[in-house]
Amino acid sequence: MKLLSFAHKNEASSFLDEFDYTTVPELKELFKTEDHFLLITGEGQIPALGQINKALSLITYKYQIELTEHINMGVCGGLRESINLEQIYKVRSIYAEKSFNQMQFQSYHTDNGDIDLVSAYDRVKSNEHKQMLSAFAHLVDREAWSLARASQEFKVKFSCYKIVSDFAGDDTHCFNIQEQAHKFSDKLYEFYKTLDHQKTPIKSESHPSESGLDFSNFHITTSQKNKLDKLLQSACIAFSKTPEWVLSQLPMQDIEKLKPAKKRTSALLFELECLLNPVKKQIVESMNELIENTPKNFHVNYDPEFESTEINIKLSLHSEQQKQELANYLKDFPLSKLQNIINGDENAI
Amino acid sequence: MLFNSVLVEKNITDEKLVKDILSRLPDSTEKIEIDSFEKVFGAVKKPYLQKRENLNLILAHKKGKLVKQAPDAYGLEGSPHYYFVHAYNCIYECEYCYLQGYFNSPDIVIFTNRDEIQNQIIETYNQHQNEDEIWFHAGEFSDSLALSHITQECEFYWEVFSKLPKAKLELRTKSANIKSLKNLKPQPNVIVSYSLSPEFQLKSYDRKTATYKQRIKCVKELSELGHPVGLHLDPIIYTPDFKQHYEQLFEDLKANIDLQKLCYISLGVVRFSKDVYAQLEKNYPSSNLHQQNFTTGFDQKKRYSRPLRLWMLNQVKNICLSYDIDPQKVYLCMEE
Repeated sequence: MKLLSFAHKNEASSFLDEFDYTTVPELKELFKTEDHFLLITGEGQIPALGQINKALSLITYKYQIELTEHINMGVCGGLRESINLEQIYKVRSIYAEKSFNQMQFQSYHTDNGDIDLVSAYDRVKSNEHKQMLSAFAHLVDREAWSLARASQEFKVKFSCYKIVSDFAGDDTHCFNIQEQAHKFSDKLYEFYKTLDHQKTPIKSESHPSESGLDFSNFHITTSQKNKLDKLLQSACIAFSKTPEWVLSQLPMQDIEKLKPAKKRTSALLFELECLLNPVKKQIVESMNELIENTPKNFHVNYDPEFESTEINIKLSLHSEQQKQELANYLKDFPLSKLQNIINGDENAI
Repeated sequence: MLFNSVLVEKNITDEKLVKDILSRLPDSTEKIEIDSFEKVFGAVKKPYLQKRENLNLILAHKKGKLVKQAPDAYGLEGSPHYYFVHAYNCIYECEYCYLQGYFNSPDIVIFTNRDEIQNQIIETYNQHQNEDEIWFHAGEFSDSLALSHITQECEFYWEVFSKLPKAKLELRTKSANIKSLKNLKPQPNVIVSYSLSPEFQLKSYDRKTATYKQRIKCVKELSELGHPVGLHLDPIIYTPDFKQHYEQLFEDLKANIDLQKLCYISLGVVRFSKDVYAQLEKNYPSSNLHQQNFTTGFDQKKRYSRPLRLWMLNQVKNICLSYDIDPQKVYLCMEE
């Protein structure tokens, strides 16, 4: 289901004539037909934001209808000489004027546009105002930015098509399109019919870890799941293969034997990292080889990200014998070798 | 057309330099007057990739500090390093470029108050009378040569640095736009430095820049003309066979230039600030770059883990040394 929006009713007149709309009781400016809604937003950023929020809330929450696209159409003014009057433009980026000579930083973007538009704070009736806005865009309207903003918040794809009625500035007709309204509306309607009305697939975020792969044997926390998704996705891109192929490259049988389940998850993530970056495995193996003879009760730790060359040794002493053991161990402790690995020494890795 | 529109600050429209730059743009470029560039550039969030089809040129004056101290490990050790701000943004599009997360607009800004830049360079130079040399880098926020045919900047800075014998000027570039350099008499203190990567990497990540072969050809031509040349092997990106690719790069260089003549070679591995990495993910979702196994450091920068990046740098450094390049000329960029 789509939503069409226009600032004024006369801009939408051809649509209202051609389609068999029914009114929506909760919002008198919202009309419904078989495959779309039509909303009259009113002129200006704030009225339009109010109307669109009401309409989107109503459609989404009350009627529980999923919108695939919001198409804003209508007339606009030209800001630059290169613009052709009465031509319909596909809008690309939409900026907004917050107050005179001050812009909203946030901007919105469509997927299919080729020219930029700025939604002015007020009607652009002076050349000074026009000049200021022309630095940002070729076209000017009063609503598109608010409509794009609300659509983004409701996660509805937004498109914008505008027909140029006149040039903004000293010579503007104040967007007074009464006389030509039907002509512009006809043109917009004809243009609308040329748009591809195939159903837009609703985007869903897919995660490789949810793509039918079985991780039921693993205890995976939320952050580990995010990491797993990212690593799997990275590996799929890096090798141009499927997640199944990626997993087939890992020693899954060995990983699945590990206990408890948490350990399996850590091993899975580690092996995935190593697949993407085999040097990491070499580094870890070289480090572990150097500390494999560490006596029991002594725990040697290093920064798992290897950013620090500091090595931590943790132990509890209970006897003179252990003290002696520690002294012997420290005497031959391969600190320099470990630090050389962390410092990327080719011979040490 | 390179630029769709050119935006000029109102109070500089009569400047000779501005008129000269405008005269070198096609007549069809739309010209718009603006109050000041700060009110336009970065005032709205303009998507980085719009540079592909909608790039504006802004001509403006930059106020405030125009010469700034470079970060640590920016250039050869032992000398003070500064960069001067003569432009913002670049016409090229490299996937790893930090500019994509630095400004909120891809539009190009050229600062035309060159006399003020010159004055601040001289002022900084005079503050370092006791140093043997002091470095000034162009191209921190832009490519030094890409637009030189429009800006004629090389000629200007050539003149400035001819009077500052202890100063070194580095022009960082990925451009084959060396026409103006060919017409200038080489100066021992003006170094053109080319960013270079293995051919496959350059093809994958550098768009619209000079190709691998073009860059090597430029290095050759400039070197033969007597211009001092440096190289930035940056960013080095991990692949299982990256070492072979760098060996090939040196073979290709050796076949074209006398490697001993290179002033320096800087080495740096790929790295991203948090903002740049977010932009990379947004702008190039299928890029192999963010499929690399980076870690996030204490400074929130994304890069390879310390052993890997130092190992990679050592590998490439060893290749340099195996080609008899003076170890003093090889330095690690942005590393401890």
